[in-house]
Parts: sequence; C-alpha cells; structure tokens
Amino acid sequence: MDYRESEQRAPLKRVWKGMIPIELQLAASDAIELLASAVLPEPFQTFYMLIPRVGYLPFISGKVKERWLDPMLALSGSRVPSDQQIKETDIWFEYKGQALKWHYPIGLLYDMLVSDVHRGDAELPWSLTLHVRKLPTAKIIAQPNGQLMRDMFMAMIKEADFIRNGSTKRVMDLSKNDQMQFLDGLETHSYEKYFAIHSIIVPPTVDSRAPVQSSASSTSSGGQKARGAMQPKAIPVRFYMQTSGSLDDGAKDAPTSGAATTSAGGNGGGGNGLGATKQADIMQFHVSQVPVALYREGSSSELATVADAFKLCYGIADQTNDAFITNCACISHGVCVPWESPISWLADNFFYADCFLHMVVVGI
Amino acid sequence: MSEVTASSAAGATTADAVAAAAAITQPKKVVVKFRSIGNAPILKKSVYKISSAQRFQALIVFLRKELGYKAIEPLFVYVNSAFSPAPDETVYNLVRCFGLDNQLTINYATTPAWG
Repeated sequence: MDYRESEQRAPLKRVWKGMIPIELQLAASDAIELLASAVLPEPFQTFYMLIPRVGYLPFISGKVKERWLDPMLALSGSRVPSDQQIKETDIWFEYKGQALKWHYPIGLLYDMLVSDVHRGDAELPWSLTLHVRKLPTAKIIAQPNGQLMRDMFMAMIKEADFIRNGSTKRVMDLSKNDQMQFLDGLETHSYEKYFAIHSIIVPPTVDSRAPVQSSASSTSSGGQKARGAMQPKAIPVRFYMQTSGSLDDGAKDAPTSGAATTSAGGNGGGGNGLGATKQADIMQFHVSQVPVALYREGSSSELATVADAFKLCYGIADQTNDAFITNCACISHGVCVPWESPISWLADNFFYADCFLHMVVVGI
Repeated sequence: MSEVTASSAAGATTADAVAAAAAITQPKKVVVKFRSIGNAPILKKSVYKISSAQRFQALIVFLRKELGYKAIEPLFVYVNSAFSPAPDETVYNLVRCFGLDNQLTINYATTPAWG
C-alpha cells in the first residue's frame, strides 16, 4: 500500500520539483546608469540560478539583488545616491523583448515564451535580461515584491477553491499558522510544508491511476472510484493560446491599455531605450479560463479529457471538430500533455502551486 | 462556430482561427453588478453593461471614476464576496467562472474585507 501510495504521488512530486536553470544579464541601459559602463566588472557579468517551475519571480528577486547586484555595486565602488538604490520592487525580467508577468508561475512563462518546448529543443539555461529601472507598468503589474506575490497567490488559491467547491470556505478556514506554512512552503519550495496544507484545501479527486493507458478502463472504473473521494464541482483550468497577435488582441487591448495608462500616469516613465515597450507585442496569448467538470456532459462515468476542456473553453460545440488536436500541442510543466488525458488525473498531478491547471496551446 | 472547421493548414493558423471563433462566441457585453460593503459609498447606478473583453483592471478604474476616488485612496474590489482577481484577468473569464446568468457581482470596500 505504501509503495503504491508513493508511486501514485510520483508524478506530482516530479512536477513540484521541476527546476529551470536561468542565466541573467543586466540590461545595458541599467548597467550604464548604475556603473557608467555597459560592461559589468568581472566576475559579475552573468548570474546563474536554478529556480523552481512552480515558483514566482518576486521570490527570487531578493536573492538576485543580494547575491549579484549588491556585491557588484559594493565591489565596483560605484556610488548610487541613496534615493536611487535598487529596490526589490523595481526588479523585473525580460525575455526577447517581452516583460515577464511576474504573477504567472515561472514554468508557465517558460512554456509560453520559449519556442519549441513541445519539440523538446528547449532553451537551457533560459537566458533572461534583468532590469532594475523603468518597470513597464502598462505590461506588468507594478510594485512586484514577495508580500504582494503572497497576497496575489492567496487570491488565486481562493479563486481555485471557489471553482472547485462553490465557496472559498476551505481556504478561509485555514488557521493563520497554516496559511503562513503554505506560503512559506511555496516561497522556499518546500514540498513537505506546502503539501501538508495543500491536502487540506484540495483532497485528491477521483482517479489517481496512470493518465492515458486505455480509454476503456477509464470509462468503466471512473465512476466507482468517485465514491470514496471528495468530488469537486469542477476543476479550474486555464488555456493560454498563442495567436499571431493582430487578430483579437488589437480589439482586446485597446480599452485595457487605456486603463493601464491611466493607472500608470503617476509614474511618467519616458520609455526611452526600453526594448520591451517597442517589441512587447511579438507574442500574444489568448487566455481562456473555464470550470471543467470531471465527467463529460451528461455522463456519470466518462471522464472529461483535455480536448473536452479545450472545446468547452473555446465554445467549439461540434464534437467531431478535432482539427486542433492534430494541429496544436498542449503543454504543461514543459511536457506535451496528450489531448485524451483525463482532467481528473491532471487535477491530481499536474496542477501548479495555485491549484490551477495552466496549459499552453501552440501550433505545431 | 463553423469558422474553426475550415483552417487546417498551419498550426498557428488553427490557433488563430480557434481564438477568433472564441472571440465570436463570446458575448460582447456582460452585466456587472457593483455592491458596496461597509462604509464604501453606494453608486447611484449599480448595474452596468460592460464589454466582456475588458480586464478586471479596467473595471477597477471605472469603479474609481464612478466613485470619484483618487488612485491613492484605498479601494478593495472582490468578486462574489470571496476573492480579488488579478488585474489582467478578463471580465469574460470571470463571468464564465463566477457569474450567474451572465452577470458578475463585484463587491467593493474601503478596508480589506475578505483578505
């Protein structure tokens, strides 16, 4: 029993332990401002780090500052006026001209932005540019820091709880200590701390068997297994579909960018020399979120699959329309998820720390 | 919805076609109902039709404008008396997940209400 138990938890543990090596360069314009030279002194030119896929960028900014930027500035003897010291809230990351949304899980950002993840030719280490000035508030949320990240993460957990159970009771009922442990587990990437609390919020769903062995067995025994376990109303699923950009985002972003400019008005960032503002639109994603029931519509035994969830999400009513299955790949945690995978298995094994299934859909 | 069927050439085209179809099936407008909590002032008009493609951020900006609140004055905005979504979530996604009959309930307060 113990053996099976641990075997069943194996995918979950591997997902949780997934790491991405990153290579950081300081943006040239920021280097010039801080050190009066675009070339950083040896040995500070590049900074390497291994960061968890399920983690978030604001949790690593502090370490980057403490272990790389601070010593570099101290040793280079450059004097930055005290009112212009680097603050954690000024730190942001860029990949090929795109500002990284710091409130997205790191692994999701990687799967969205690094091309060819689905072919396995991933970019390792992941080469990112670090910025410490001119955070583009029109593109990413202002003032990133560990505490705000923790607050936003708790909000996501509540959102997930609401989708699962119709209320946020499970999360709201957590004691202050449990909540702290949960967040500390996330921030320090501690499997034990995190899952001790996670199992209170999210009991395992229906089916913890291997994902896609035979559809016959999943249809026959799915119903039986459901009895013992707590059944959620639905699973929180979010698809990120890459589009060429011009298509719908022109119309979509118009009102938003107006709003964002209003809120960013106080910052008055000139934006000169900021590569990110110029090219940030090269990759667009259509984000679609929908609650997905464990079983297919009108069935109490047929498990809903990723393909079903996708159809539901994009309003594809035609059950025979499967063009996307051959033309698109669905990626989560750097793995191509087969379209026929049951959502219930993914819900038990492939969730991100915020309890959502985040899946990136790209054309192949 | 038949728009999706046609394109089968390159994968990227399919993705675009699916996204386009989704934008078509998506209702243009959704009903948003604002409810004040605690000391927060009540709006003269509490129900609005808002473009479903808007992000939550735009909704907050709109609410602040209606209330005449400046950016520095605290305002806490929630969905279904339960949680605060990220500012970049679209109203359509929120309505689909948390709305009732295509109507989304937004609660606002001047002090934190639901953590």
